Amino acid sequence: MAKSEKICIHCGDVCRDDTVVRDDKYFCCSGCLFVYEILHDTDTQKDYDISKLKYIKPKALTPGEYDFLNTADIKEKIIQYSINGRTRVIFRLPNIYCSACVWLLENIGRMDSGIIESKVNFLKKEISILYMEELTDLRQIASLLASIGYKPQLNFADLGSEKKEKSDKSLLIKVGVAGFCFANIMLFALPEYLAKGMLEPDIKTYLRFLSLIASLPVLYAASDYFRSAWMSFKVRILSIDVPLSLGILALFLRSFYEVVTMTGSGYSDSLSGLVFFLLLGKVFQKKTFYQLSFERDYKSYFPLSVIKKKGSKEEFIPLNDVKSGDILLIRNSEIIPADSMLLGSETLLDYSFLTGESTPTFVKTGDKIFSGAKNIGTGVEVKVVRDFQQSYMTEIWGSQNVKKKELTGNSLISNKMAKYFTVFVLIVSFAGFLWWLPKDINIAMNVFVSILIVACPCALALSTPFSYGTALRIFSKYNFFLKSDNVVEELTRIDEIIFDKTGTLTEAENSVLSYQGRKLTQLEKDIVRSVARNSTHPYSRLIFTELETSDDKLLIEKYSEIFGQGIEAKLGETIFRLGKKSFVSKEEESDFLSDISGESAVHIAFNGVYTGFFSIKSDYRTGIFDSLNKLSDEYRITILSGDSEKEKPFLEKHLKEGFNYNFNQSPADKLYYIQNIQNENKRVLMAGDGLNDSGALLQSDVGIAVSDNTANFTPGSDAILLADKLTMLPDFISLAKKSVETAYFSYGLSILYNLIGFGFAFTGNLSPVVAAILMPISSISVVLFAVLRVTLFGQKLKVKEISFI
Amino acid sequence: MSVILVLITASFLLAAFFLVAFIWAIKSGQFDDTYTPSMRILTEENETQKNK
Repeated sequence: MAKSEKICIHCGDVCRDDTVVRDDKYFCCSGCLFVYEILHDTDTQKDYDISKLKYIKPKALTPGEYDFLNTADIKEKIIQYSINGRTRVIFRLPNIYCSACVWLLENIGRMDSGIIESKVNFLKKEISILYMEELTDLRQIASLLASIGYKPQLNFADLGSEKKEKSDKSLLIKVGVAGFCFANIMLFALPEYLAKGMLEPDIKTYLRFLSLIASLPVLYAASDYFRSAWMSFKVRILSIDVPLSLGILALFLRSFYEVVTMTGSGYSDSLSGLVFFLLLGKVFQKKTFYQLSFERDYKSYFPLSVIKKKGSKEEFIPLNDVKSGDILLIRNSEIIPADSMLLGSETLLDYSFLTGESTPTFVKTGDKIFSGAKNIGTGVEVKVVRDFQQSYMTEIWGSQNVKKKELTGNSLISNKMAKYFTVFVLIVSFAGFLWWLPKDINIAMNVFVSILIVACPCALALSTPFSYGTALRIFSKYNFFLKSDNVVEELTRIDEIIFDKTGTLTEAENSVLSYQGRKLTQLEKDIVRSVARNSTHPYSRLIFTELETSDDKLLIEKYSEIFGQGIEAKLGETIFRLGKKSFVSKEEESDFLSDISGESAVHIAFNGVYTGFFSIKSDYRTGIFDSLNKLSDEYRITILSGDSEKEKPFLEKHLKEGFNYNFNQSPADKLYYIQNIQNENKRVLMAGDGLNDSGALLQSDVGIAVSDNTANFTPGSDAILLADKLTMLPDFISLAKKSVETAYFSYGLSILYNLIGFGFAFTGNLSPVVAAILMPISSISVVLFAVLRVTLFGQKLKVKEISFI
Repeated sequence: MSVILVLITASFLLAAFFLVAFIWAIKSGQFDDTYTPSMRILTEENETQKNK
């Protein structure tokens, strides 16, 4: 799908879809356009003539589009603060691309005199605007931004990002304070270390007190650990911060005692060094973890597609590309991917994904539809009002109201382990202290604190999320999108696999369609096509694509699709039915042959009169038989199909011994089949389309919805897989296995590390400062190990993918 | 030799002053965005033309 690349005349970047064109010149964004125009109009090449900005007329917008911003409730939510009539607001502008955009946006004060200041944060694509309430308001500002090409992305869910900034700042301050104290205290400690007892008492005492005073801010810097330990204490849980806080307090109190009673130099250097390195480790962890993290938003795509209308043309776009302003055609049983407004006449929606209730909701033209609604009526056109948000979709998918079997497994074990671990650490540290106490109190102190510090259960808690998280990231690169980490584990526990046939093993696109029966008039063909257009069933899609038609779009008054049976639709006077023979017409056996081996049939009838059938010679996906055979080595495989047994000989020819086949399955039959297997205490993986198999997908232990250019989404599924990657299923399963193995290995690694650390600490050979350095190193190394190992195995998938081209 | 105590105190206080400056800088948002200012210098020249 090669698009000719346009280069922006102003900045030289490649232009994307939203290219702006003026006089045959291409610009990547409005910023470049305006700046170019300003430069072009003046003779001087260097100067940006700012006064020209006054003459830019805002584009006409849909009137009233931003009115809601001025309502008090909404305004409250959006603005940062408002003092003395000056208000600050932050808008997210996804269209910021280059420095010209930055320049333009920071000069909008010249286009709206109410704006006092506007500052862009380029990396975050945000603009922070300070304006005067008297002179302008949110509505005007948002309209202005939209009119120059930077439509604000209004998203109430993003308000949480404020908190993250505050905590980052506070952490930086604490690191600074701890570092300051650490450096100074180390300097003050030098004379006493180096003089070896020959230091003047005045100086010695002074330095000791100074060190003690300098260690007070360190306690402030360590306040997060204290707070968290105290919180967990209150709920009677022992978190890892408890031993840490104990260690820090012990050091401080001991130092205080020693200095005040003049019996020793205290441990201020260890204390400040400890806290400093702990905090430094936290900062570093935050940065590296963020890079390695399983934040899937930017690199991976929800493998569902939806039809977008561009003028009169229709094209498939992935959900991630759905933007505000797009017009989409949502067919029956597809979900509406983003908040939209209904353009079509009317339809029924199912909001069970969001609310858990499946009573249909009736909507008419102009009504607002929330993302996640399922269309259960005719296909309709909708206009998107908010960009697609993958995080929102994934969030509700994870927390949706559908009940699945409770997961008991690894993840719960790691929780328990963490609790016992802390108790274990406390016991060992007190034991160490008591052991050394009669011999040498200094060593006893050291040992006590070192053990508390060196114990690192954080690695235990991190192995699973990072192994599985990496696997999730790798999977989504191959369009295999898992709902959550748990699914990785479930994939390794299955005993049997079930495949649906139509649309999963076969693909609609390359199938061959032929018609037998009474010849159809053009009008009748149009009727068939118009009805088929609304359905996402692979056979409907095939009929829609293959049938020639005039361009008349017929109006469908009533549409209903019964899964496993067919479609009924009413157009004007005609009632049309499409689907299984028994569904379509009550007539007895007709003249027409419909038992051609190897082909499925879709029958049609107009007003109850049987007319004929389409026979579809299914094309099986390339390589699918190899994959199935490979899987059958390890798992018992069943193929369930709603079609008749006609295809059985063909399948048996290509597949090994030991496969099960069940034909003429209704959706309920499939469900019972799975339940039967589960009653034998076996775990089932099912791969089917999200359409007919939603019940079965929900019931199975792992339900994979195979998606093929549709936006069928069933919340009961655990994963979505793009159909052409189905052949990679054996490799996906083996990667899942490797991930679980890696998680175990990294547990082992962290336990090993802890044992060695304990060993050194107990024998008095480990100083608290060294322990403090080792702690973040251990967590990072365990995490790196987990991520690298899984990534390495993930490389094998790439090889497999190439071999199928 | 005890003058060293005065010197140590003085330098400590000086360092503390810098610490305070550091904290003030963080709080006032200097470290929030370390990327965009680099873009801004490219257009800074026209600022001198602005009539304040």
